[in-house]
Parts: sequence; structure tokens; C-alpha cells
Amino acid sequence: MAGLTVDKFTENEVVKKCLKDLQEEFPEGKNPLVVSDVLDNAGHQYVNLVQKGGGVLGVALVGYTYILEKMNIRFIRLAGTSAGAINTALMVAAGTKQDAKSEYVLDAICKLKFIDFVDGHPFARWVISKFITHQDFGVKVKRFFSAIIFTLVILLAGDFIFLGLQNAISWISIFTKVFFGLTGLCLLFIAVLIAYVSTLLKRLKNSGFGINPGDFFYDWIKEKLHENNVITVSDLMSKASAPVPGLHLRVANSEELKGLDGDVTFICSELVSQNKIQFPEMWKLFRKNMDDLQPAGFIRASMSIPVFFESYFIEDIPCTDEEIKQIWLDKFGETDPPSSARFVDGGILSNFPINLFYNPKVDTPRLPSFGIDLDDSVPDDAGKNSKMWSMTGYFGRIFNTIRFYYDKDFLIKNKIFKKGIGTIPLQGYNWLNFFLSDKDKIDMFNKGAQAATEFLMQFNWQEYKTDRIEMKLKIIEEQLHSGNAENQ
Amino acid sequence: MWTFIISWTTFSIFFGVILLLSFVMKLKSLHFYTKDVVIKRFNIMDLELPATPNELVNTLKGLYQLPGSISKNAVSALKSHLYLDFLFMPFAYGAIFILCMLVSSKMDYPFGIILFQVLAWIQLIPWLCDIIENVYILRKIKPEPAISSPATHTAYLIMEAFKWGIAFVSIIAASSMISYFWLTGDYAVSSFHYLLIVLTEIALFFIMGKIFIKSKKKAIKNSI
Repeated sequence: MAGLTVDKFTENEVVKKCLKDLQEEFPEGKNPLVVSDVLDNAGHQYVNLVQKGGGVLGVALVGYTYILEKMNIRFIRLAGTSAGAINTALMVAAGTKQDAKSEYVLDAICKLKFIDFVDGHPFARWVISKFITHQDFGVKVKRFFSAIIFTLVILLAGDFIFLGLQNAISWISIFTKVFFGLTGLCLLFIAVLIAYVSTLLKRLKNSGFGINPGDFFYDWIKEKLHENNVITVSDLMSKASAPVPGLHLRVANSEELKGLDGDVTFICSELVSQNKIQFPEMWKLFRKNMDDLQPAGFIRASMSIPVFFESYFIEDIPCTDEEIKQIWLDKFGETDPPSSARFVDGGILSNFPINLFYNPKVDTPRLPSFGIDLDDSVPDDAGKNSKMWSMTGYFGRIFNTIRFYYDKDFLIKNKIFKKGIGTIPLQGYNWLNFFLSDKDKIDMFNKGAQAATEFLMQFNWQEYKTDRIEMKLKIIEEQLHSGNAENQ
Repeated sequence: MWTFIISWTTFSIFFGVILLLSFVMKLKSLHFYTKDVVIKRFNIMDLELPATPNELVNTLKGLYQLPGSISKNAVSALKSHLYLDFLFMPFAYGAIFILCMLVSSKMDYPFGIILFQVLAWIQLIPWLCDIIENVYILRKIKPEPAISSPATHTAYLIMEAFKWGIAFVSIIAASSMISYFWLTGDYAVSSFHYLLIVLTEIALFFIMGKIFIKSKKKAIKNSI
């Protein structure tokens, strides 16, 4: 990655144009950008931020936050899943809430070889790289196996023919012996191939069905947290909830500054108890003492793409302890807590946890919830024709319907939150392509910056507030109706 | 003496010893558990062909992270497996040597004769590789083994490729020729009983495996 510097991201023409357009649209003093009523003395506006998961597409998230920060927007509460959790963690750990963090995150990206995250068996790494970077790799694999079978058939036919002929022509026996030898070697090759594949499959089973251990990622994120003095979970929570000096409201609000403490949430999927876990908030489910857990583990758990990465485990949960049992019971209605927990990517349950910041008690919002959506879906007419789906397409649709509906359902019911979401179009990029070129990274960053610019151009804080108030009134009205109906 | 060594009688004896030692080593390998995040099984091939230097170290380090007696059993089983392997080697490579020499003696053309003699004597290389490999692993069996440099790791893997490659190619080449002699009827009827001895040894190996290994495997698994 030598050669990739923060400047190459931030000083390129696309990003400069985005900032110029925004400065022209929102000139200082004349028509300033207003996105929130929560401000600090330095003039930063505060919002909540949710970052969606999406593997390497996470680079685009940084482009988006970079523009927000350049426009003096800062973040009180942060949440994310998978790649979104990684960015969230780095943004929480670095500096103070008043500081811009995106350049720090970019610097971390520049110093990082994404391919190092793929830390499994070299063969698995090779196969993954070929499948992702060469579209015809599947065809080549088929051809390879066909060639082996064809060779074996030819050799066996040769054995059969020469063995018969050598009775009539004695010197043919040389060819018979050579063909026998070659057949043996061909069979040896096939046997070694089968043994190798079965060994890899056994390894996959032994490693809990994860190709890559994820150790490199764990060590990397741990190092990043440590260099910002986030060693323990307490450190992480203190950083996330650190008060902002001089925080005040632009307009009066009955809630005043109550609840504007800040926090951080990483979403994970826990397979033993089959629950969505929000770290660090739910640490009490797993330990008596918060600092017995590792903050790096929360992010490692959130990004454990099933099969691609090994699961993250928390073992030796004091599941017989009465206090812990009570917490499991209160939280999940679970009477028999597990002794160990196994986490995979939070994205399988909630890849875009915008619902976290929904507070039904709020009458008039003081700050909006911003969300960064990553859209790598390719317009696919064939996808609409359900009768034409292949088996993988069919199962893929089932999986995606289940996977996305949790977040989608929230947005359907709370349309107002859509107003705070900006979508980064990333068609053509593979979210598992850990072999991205520098050019691709910069291009993704630019797309993030452009999406943020577009979003800020159309975002209207007053309209958001009004809609949110109306939404609240509608809920009250519905509650009154249902109350009346029950009384009747 | 040489005629006795290069004979089916010696081969049958060597083959029997190989199966017996394999059986004992298999019993030892039932204790091969390590802790790398979670407790998991491993086999000797994981140590012979580790994907990365870290992987070998993690497997060996994990032996000491297992709970008390399981850790003790795993370490002792691995060490005795490797020491037994030193005993296994002369019989394994010796058997391949004999097989190749026997095939060589039946070849008609000089090329075939020399080829199989070379394959026979070249077994000294995998034997040497096997010794180095065992010493390398034995020296790393400790709670905090040093991670090998990438160059050492690559050299180790190349050595493994030589070891397995030479041994397997020799076995397959010799077996192919034996199959050829069998199909063309070019064998001495007087040596027929050696085939029966070898087949009986194989059958005994599988029967013993069925009787002892399955139940022991289950018992060890339940204790973990």
C-alpha cells in the first residue's frame, strides 16, 4: 500500500468539488448549513450517526463522514454493524467528540493492506482472490477438472489397448509400462487433490466453519484502540460518553440537554441464544466485571462474516450466577443462559441499525439521526422474474428477505428516518473484494463524498423536525384511537 | 544377506511393523487436542503442513492451554507419537526401498532397472527430511514456542513437499509396475503367499482399529 496517503483521498478533484459546491450552497453568514439544534462553542453541529455494514465498501463510509465533518458536523451517538462498526470504533476512539476523525480513519486505511484480513490458509486466500477478481474462474476450475478426467480416461484406454497389443507385438510392452506408470501418477495426483480438499474441509469444520481466523483484524483493531488509550471496555464507554464542553441548544427545547451524553453501539448476532446483541451496552450478559471483556472483541464479533471469518467466541460466561441469570431473563426471557456465546456478523440480523436512535418519548427532536446506506445492488431485470431464478438465486432471495426485513420494517413504519439517510451508490464493487486497488479505494471514497454532498444539499432540518413532531402526534392519535376502541 | 533383504519376506515383515506402529501412533493421536480460541482436534498433518508459521505455533501453544490432564495427555501423546515416528521411518522408507528394488529386478530394459534403483536409494532423502521435521517439531513443543521466520517456514514446507513427493511417486511407480506384472501374469507363483500375508496384515490392522480405536476415541471425546 506504499504510496497511498491521506492527501490522495482528500485532495483529489472530486472531493474538492464536493466541498466547493457545499461552500457555495451554504456560504458562511448568508445561508449557513443547519442540520441540528445541538451545538458547541466552536460552532459544530451534533447529530447521531449510523453506519451500515458492507465489507470493504466501508471505505465509502469514510468519504461520507469526511464531508460531514468538513461541514462542521460532529457526532453524539454512534452505531454500526460490521464495516460500519469498524469505522464507528475508530471514530469513537480517536480524539475527542469535537475533533474531526475521518482523516485519522483514512490514515489507518492507508497503512493497512486489506488482504491481510484474509488470514486463512494460503490456498483459500488464492481461491477467494481468483473468484472475486476473475469472473471466469469458475469456468477455469471446471475445465481443470474436465482435463484431469480426460487424461485419466486416455491413460486407462492406453493401458487397455497396449496391454492387449503387447501379446502380438512384444516391443509395445515399453509403452504399456510407461502408460501404467503415468496412470499411477495420475491417480496419485487425483488422490492428493482429494486428500488436500478434504483436509481443507476438515480444517473448515475444526475452525468452526470459518475460512479466515480473523486474528489479524483483531490485533489490528486492538492496536488502533490502544494507541488511542482505549484499553478496556470502561475506556471505550468513557470515550463514547465524554461530555462536550460548551454544548448548547440553538432553540429552546423542553428536554434541554438531557440524554445528550453520547454512546456507541456495535451490532452482533449471537448464535447460541439466537439473539441480536448490542455491545458494549449488553456486556452484563457475559461477565460480572465489564473489563473482563475486550473492546476489540466487540468489533471482531460484529464483523465476523459467516464462513468468510471464524466466529468470535465469549467463553466461561458465569451462567449459573443469579445476577447474570436475572439479566438474561429480563433481557431475552432466557431462563437457561449459555455458558459460551458464539458471534457472527451483526449484518445477518441488522445491517443498518437506524432504529437504535428512535426514542418514542421525544416530542421535538433536538438533533437528527443520520444514516449512511451502502447500495451495491445491480439493477437486475431477471431478478424480478421469479420463475427464472436459479436455485442459488432462489435461496439468496430467501436469505436476503430475512436478513434485510428487520431494518426495512422499521423504516417502513418510521418513514421520517429515511430523511436522515444518504445512500452511496457502489454498483460494480464486490463487498468481499479484499484485493482492492488504491484507485478503487479512492473511487469509493469519492462516491461517499459525493453522496454526502448530495444528501446535505437536500437535507432540511426544519422539515425533519416538523415531520418528526407530526409523527409523534400521529402515534398519540393512534394510541388514543386504540384506547377508545378498547373502552368501547 | 542382500538377497534376503531385497525379498518379499523382508517386505512382508517391514509392512507388518509399519501397520503395527501406525496403529500405536493412531492410538496416540486420539489425544491430539489443542486450544486455539476453542478446544479442537488436530492431526499430525496440521503440524507437517501448517499454512503459516503462526498456525504451527498456535497449535503447539494451544496444547498447554488445555485444561490440566487433557493438556498433559496431549503433550505426552504428541511427543511419543514423534519418537515412535523415528522407529517407524526405517521400516517405512525401507519397505519402499525393497519394493522399488524388487520391481527393478524384474525390469527388462536398463532404463527401467536404473529408474527403480534410483527411486529405491533416493528414499534416504525423505528419511532425512522426516528426521529433520520431527526434530523441528519436538523442539517447538513448549508453552511459548518461537515463531519461525517466513524463510524457515517456506524451507520447511519445501522439505515436506520433497519428503511426501519422493515417497509417494516411488510407491505409485512401483505399484503401477506390480499391477502391470500381475495383469500380464509375469509373477512367480511361489511368491503368491506373500500377497496373502500382506492382505492378512491389512485386514488385522482394520479389525484392530474397529475394536480399539472407535471406543477409545469416544471415551477421549467424552472426557473433553
